[in-house]
Amino acid sequence: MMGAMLMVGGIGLVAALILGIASVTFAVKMDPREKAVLDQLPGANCGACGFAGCAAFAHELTTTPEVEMACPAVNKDGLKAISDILGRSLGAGDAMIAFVRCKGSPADTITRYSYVGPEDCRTAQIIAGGPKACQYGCLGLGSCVEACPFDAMHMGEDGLPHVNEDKCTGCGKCVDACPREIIALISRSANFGVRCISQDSPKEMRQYCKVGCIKCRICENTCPFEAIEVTQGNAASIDQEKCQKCGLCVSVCPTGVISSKQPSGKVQVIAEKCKGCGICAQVCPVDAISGKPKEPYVVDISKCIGCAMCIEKCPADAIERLAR
Amino acid sequence: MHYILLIVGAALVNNFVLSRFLGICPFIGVSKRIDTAFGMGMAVIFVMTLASFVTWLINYYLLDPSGLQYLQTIAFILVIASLVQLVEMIIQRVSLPLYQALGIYLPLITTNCAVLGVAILNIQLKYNLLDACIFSIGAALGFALALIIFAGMREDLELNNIPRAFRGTPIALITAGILSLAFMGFSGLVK
Repeated sequence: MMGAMLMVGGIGLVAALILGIASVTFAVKMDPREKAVLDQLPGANCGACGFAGCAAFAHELTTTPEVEMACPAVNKDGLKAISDILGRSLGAGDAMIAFVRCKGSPADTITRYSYVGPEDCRTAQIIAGGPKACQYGCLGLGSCVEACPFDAMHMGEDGLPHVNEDKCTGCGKCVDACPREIIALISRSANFGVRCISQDSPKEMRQYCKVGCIKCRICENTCPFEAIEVTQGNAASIDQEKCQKCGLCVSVCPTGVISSKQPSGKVQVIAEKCKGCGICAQVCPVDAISGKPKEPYVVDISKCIGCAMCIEKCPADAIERLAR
Repeated sequence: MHYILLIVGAALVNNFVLSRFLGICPFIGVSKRIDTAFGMGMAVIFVMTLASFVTWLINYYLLDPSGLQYLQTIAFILVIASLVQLVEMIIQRVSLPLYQALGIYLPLITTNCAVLGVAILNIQLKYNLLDACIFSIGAALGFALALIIFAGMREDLELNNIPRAFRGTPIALITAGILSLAFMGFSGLVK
């Protein structure tokens, strides 16, 4: 009994001693800042920064002053923390988010053949260009969902991938995974997007998809800011820098292919501030504001689409958004 | 000839995973891709050889003289665990690329029962020190071989249309069973 205790205890003690000595002798010197930086990075090792994982990127950030912040997934707090740790300011790029540019659920589209095989879009794409009749449409097998390192995507009941905006970091893994380039990164602040990239003529498209962009140019002609454009043969595209988030395009699109993250809030006139100049009534694209000169104007809530053009133009700051 | 037979016997005939059924956890866990399986296999070869060398010494110079053979299991686990820790530290200092290549697999092996199994078998089969080292190299080679073959099969399985109920681990277990049956074909070749 005593012998056994001594034996195991002895082996343990010797091992502990050796390990203790080794941990001092063979200690690898690591910059403590590097570890602090690594703690702030997302830790998904997605490789979007161009380095071999988060640890490698943290090492580069700490050791090389020229390295800029290349991680698209780090949030604002993390960025600030890293800037503090390293003692140099790191600029953040515009935060991006994944956006699915197809609205053609299986119910609205036609397939050319019945695909039986691995649940993988790239494999399906190889077989005669994929089962979906539309060559620009989502195959719906979820390769993008599989590729997402942040668990930010899921296949919805409509058979299309959906992005969880809280989790999406804009790393672009899904963009690479999609064989049809349907997913794109758009600015996180963007409110509207066209969910179609088809280059087929409207006539062709109507044979296999009920919801694609038919290039009617109504949105282009309606947009007061020239932010949406239908170039020859392409689906409509929105210039997010010009977009003022008025939402007119959504309301006029005949196929409903333009999506909005959140509806624009309607507006009301603050009677005390209004000088009755009538500029708002002139700029309102839907004639929702009416009134007499020199008297407070009134917004017809049922007509207002929340485009906020009146807010922009009002010289007296007399118009405000209603809470949603 | 004796040593060749030892290696063939440990690697193929009495393959640790497929006929002794030791170390099934990493066999299922780290066999999704060939390169990870390869990394794991290399780490096992490394650790197994070292561990059987040290445990043989512990057994014959510490446990045997004091008549405490019944402490074999606990003493071996203790020694293997601290050995892996030590080796990890040394590798990290001496060769960072090797450390990064072995990565997480090194600490994982600490609790791999195939390593403990080979250490105990060395004693049970009454091998001398050289025999024990050769035997454990053979055993580790067999482990790596089984792991890599299995990973290759699983990579191909990914591309097949498997019934939904069998996807993932179920089909992996069935495949492992069939692979094990195939290795049974070697039985009787060497003792």
